Amino acid sequence: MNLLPLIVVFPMFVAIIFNYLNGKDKLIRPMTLLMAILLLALPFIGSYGIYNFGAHGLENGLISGISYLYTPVKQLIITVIMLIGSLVLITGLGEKKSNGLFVALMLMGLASVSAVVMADDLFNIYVFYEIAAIAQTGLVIASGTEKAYRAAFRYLILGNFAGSILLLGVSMLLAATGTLNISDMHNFLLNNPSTPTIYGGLLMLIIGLCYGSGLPPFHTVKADIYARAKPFIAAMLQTYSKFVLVALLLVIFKLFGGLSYFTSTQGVLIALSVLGMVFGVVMALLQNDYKKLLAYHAISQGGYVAAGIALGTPLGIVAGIFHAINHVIYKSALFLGAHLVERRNAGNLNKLGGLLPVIPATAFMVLCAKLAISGVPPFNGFQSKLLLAEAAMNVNMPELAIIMILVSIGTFVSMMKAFYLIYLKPCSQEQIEEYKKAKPSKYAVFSLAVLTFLCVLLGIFPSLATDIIYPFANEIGRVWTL
Amino acid sequence: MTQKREIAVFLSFVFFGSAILYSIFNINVVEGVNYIYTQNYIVPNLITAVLFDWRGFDTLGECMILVTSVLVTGMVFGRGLFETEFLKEVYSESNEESDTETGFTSIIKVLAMPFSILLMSLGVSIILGGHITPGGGFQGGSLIAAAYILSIVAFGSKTPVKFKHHFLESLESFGAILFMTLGVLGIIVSGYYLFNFGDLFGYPVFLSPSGLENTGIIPYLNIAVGLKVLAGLSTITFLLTGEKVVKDYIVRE
Repeated sequence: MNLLPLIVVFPMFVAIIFNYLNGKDKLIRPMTLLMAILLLALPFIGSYGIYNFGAHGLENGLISGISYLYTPVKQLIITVIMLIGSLVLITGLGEKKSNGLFVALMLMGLASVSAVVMADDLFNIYVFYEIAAIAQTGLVIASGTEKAYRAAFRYLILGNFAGSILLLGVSMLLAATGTLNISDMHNFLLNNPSTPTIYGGLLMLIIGLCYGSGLPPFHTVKADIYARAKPFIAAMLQTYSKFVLVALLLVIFKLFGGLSYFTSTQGVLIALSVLGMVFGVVMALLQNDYKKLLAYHAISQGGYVAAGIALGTPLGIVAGIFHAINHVIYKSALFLGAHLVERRNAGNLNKLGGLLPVIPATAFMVLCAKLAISGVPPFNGFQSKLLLAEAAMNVNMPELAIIMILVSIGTFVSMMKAFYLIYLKPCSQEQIEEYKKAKPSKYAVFSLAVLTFLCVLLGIFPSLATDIIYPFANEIGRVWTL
Repeated sequence: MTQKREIAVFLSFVFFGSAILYSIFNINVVEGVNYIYTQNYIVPNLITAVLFDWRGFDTLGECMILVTSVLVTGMVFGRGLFETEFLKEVYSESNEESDTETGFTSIIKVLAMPFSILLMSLGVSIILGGHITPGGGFQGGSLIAAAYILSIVAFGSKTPVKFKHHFLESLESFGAILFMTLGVLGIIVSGYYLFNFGDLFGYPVFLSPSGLENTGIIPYLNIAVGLKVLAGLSTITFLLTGEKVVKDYIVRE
């Protein structure tokens, strides 16, 4: 019995129950812990291959219903999503209020992003993409500050626009090809001449992709919601958008890969990702607010992921997906570190300082994550950035590799600045006494430790992840040089 | 500076709009999978068959969009926030009870009541006959919600057709859970999620009059979606109208 749909349906089912339970505090905590453990088992209940909903498979050579395609790569991605989700849920237990609605929205987001990753059907992707957008808005609002409300409102308004554009694109592609299944649509596009409708559909898919993942021109909106949400929630938000980015980019590749007009699209995607990288890091260097700094770095690293996959070579796709996985791990660790610092009630970097003797273990783990994001050898960020640079060199684009290295240096500078200002800067004795009063939450430290361990593990043994991705990338990628 | 910005915005609108119009103008519809949908006869009403049988999982997703929006709307008004200081400040400013009761003539009140009852009955019949008539759960549910909204608009929060907020919430959860459970039942029967099975252990799951096809679980799915939509839209409206609810949420915590 193939239980694949339960990966999506089970979290949603439990989300509704949690919504109903909101307010019954004693029940929520143990249930959240149970859910956090159950989530880790979810990716392993399905078997690989095509899954047709409602048993509507091939008829007249076309897949008539909705189908999911489950492969080892998707299993890896969903495992990472669920892992981060369960760690964030555990961190949420450390809050003063136990909050059923927060858990419900988290589970909705987890379910919908894994549906976007698994689906082999364009309209299904759109539907779950919308759920993810609304759930993210809710998670930002959960902070309950005026700025969070404003950021969420902006995100929702732009989301309406971008979601409708994506829907229009899907409908155009449906009209032009007569099917919604991605594999069938690809076959149709290969064997038939292209029309302006198909170009329009492609353009609109790219706009939906940019909104879902925070590439320019939507980067400020996305960075705003990361910065305004509570930091441990922001860890989840950026995980959602990274994997929506990976999933939608791979969908575009699957649809249009191998077509003559796709090379120019690849150029556009690479340009967008370079803009994302550079804008992100430049804005991050300017920030005084730690959360905003991290938020803009999330945008910049999203640019790396997009650049890797947009190159379209097998190595590039491996590097892109591997970097997405690494990125969600170390950036979640950084956001959790920010969460531990935020309990000392400051977002402004200039007001902090001297935290090293107060929380030495956390400081060490955050330092590890900071080195990982800047691409320093024993950590996972180094491995994937190396692969990315290699992929860029292989297609004869040394400029891209140089931009990546420069952006990495910018990342290192701003991260070390933040580390100095938070942990090392000398500060008065009274302030240290005040810091010592606020106990760090054990749950957050535990999650941070798990993530740091993963950073080192993937840094030393990158083949744990890349071995799974290589066969898939060889299948979908195309070797080319400039 | 602002003028340059406006010109840039204008130009991008023109380019983008012309791109959309150009591609829409060139649409040449390929029949493709539609052929399969029109050839196979599952239910008398083709749209319902496509919505609930071929693409039932999409309908589940659409329901979930509504569920999530209701969650988020509740959250905007203070339910399940981590901090409520901001909302306390906002709502402490406006203390006087503002009710929409003033401003509506008695003619509207007299007409609104029977009208909304009629609309509700129509909605119920649309939901129940969704598998044979045009329409279905979503349409019927929104009709009932519209009737509820009409009565709220005419009478304010002292409307005669009053549902308790918590009742609506449980109705919504029940609808969504019913849909998902029917899907899981499909796994048990055949191994496929949302499988449209006609009979369970030899008994037909839905008794339809002779002359109609066996519609399987589609009527039940219709009812589930109807409950979900009517409760979801009503909850959103209720939240938007009643300041009392907000105070309830904040005070309770």
